[in-house]
Amino acid sequence: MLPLKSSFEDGSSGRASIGERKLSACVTSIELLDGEPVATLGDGRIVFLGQRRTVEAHAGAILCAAPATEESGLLSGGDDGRLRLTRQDGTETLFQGSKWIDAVASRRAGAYAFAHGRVLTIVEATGARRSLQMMGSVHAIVATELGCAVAHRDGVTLVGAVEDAILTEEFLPSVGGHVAISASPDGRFLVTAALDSSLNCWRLSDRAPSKMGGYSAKPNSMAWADGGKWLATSGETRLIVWPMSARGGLGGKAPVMLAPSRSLVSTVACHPSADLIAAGYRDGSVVLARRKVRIVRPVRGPTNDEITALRFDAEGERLIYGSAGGAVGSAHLRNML
Amino acid sequence: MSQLNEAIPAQIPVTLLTGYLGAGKTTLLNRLLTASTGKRYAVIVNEFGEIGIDNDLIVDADEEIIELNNGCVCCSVRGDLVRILGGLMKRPDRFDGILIETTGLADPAPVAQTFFIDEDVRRKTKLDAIVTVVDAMHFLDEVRLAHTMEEQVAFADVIIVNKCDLILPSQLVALDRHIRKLNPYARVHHAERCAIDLREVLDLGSFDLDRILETEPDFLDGDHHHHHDGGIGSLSIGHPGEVDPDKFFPWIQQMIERFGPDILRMKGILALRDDADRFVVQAVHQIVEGIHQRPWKTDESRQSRLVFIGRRLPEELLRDGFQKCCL
Repeated sequence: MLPLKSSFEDGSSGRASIGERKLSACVTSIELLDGEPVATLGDGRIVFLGQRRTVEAHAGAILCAAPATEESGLLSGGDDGRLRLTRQDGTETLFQGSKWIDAVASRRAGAYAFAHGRVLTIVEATGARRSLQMMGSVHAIVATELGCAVAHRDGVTLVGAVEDAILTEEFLPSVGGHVAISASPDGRFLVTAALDSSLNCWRLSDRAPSKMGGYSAKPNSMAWADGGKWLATSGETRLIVWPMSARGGLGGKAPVMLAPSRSLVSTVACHPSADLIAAGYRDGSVVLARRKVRIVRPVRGPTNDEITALRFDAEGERLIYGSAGGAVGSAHLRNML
Repeated sequence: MSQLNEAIPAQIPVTLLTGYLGAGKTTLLNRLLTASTGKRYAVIVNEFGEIGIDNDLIVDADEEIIELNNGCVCCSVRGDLVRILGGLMKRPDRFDGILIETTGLADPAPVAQTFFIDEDVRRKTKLDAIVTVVDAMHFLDEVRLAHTMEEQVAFADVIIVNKCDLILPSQLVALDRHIRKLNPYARVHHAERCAIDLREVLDLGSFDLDRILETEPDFLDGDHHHHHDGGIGSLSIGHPGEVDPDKFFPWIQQMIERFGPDILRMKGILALRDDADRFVVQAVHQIVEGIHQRPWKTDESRQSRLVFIGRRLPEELLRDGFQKCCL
């Protein structure tokens, strides 16, 4: 097996080169810290993939992570009840509770929000900390322009941090258990994955809801292409890419379906600028797909080790992936662009 | 089921402990944890009670019942369990099992249904057994007041009648009779302070289905139907031969759709025509699943049996319908 670092330096061969190595536990997310890919693991470790440096951040699994804006740090929440901030030079505990930290999202200028049980805690850049009781245990949070949106039972709560002292709450109902959430980068749509394997959408201009059922599994992984005009999702035996029109929202038009497989897509990621969508499958394979020309290119073959994390780097030159079995690797994309 | 090209990872067995308030669930939990030295369990509890639990990993759940279809209790799951089991699977250290203790007032159906309905949960865990602890001293008084207690007994694969030292032998006979009316198919153990061999509780495998083919003193006359005042009863329908799958599957689907809310549990072992495998079916309310379990052994007689536990079971309809599927 090639060491990861050599693949980061390689890339001159003219085809996607892959270096892969094995980490100590399930890769629960891959984030970028100062441009360097960082993996969070199921055994509480945070691994800086370029330097091969490991920080023991949590006593149990890392359940969620988000880059801390302005801090060049990584926020991580674990089943040890801790929220940690990890930087190049060390790690510190920001919060310690008794419930799991299931979700964290960072907002502009150092503000962030995290969830423990039913409680959502919002921390402003000033350090001011306020907590809200949600109507059910929080499964996921996404930052929005005005605050954050929180997925829980029977819908989503939009939390607005209008001023330092005022929090607003608006409930968007939809029966079922909402377990993953994403907001379009243009601020037009909010989407969730629900326990009944459906995709739920709200058009934020008028809160109009739409719902798309029939997925084979929960479409837990969602990624936006072209600034929010397209939504790629996991949960089917092919990559599903929905056109998100202002008029129709979700389901106004049929989706583009790419890269069929006998295995379910488990993770998706969209390139920051080019027409390139990455899909990872439960069987361990990874592909890159172009939506417009419908070309699919294999990156990694099946290994029976589910892909659990995918991330393009900030320049869009590399795709980094991680698996349930702890495999982590990267592919250069030069010839794909 | 579609043919997906995925290796099936080893499913971690889950044991569900139910029982009314004060029956001794936490005592049983601690007994199991103490007795199973060298094995690692994750324990999911609903609230930390007065009795401490002696285990490295205890997760606090919040019994959040989610209805998947509008207002249908038959399609409800425990959302918190989906989240917690998903989180536990991220840990690298493999558990030998997961023990879930529910609150005394909990309806066991949504928990059981979570293991049938949720795709992620099914893929990584399997419900090994539902174990219900019954307080020998108080059960007969309290069961009149609390619907939940009947359902906990009706759902059980294993029933531990606890605090047997506190009642007279004659009272124990009456108690057993009552429990048998609610659930003739579970294994019943008598215990004091929940002292029981953990092999009777853990790693039983697949809901202990073989039991329904065993002949019990109660069932010498074949088909059986038990009823009692509370409305929960049971029905066993047997056939000493094969059934026609083309008739059986549409029929059982129709029965489950129609009577699902009243059917608490259904289990069955079937000899299907032209099929070398034993086929097993089980249902919790409206959720049915069936699998090819294993080939029939040469010394086994190919026979079929369905057992139902539920309220107001339509006995004649079920019996006649099943007979029409038999060959």
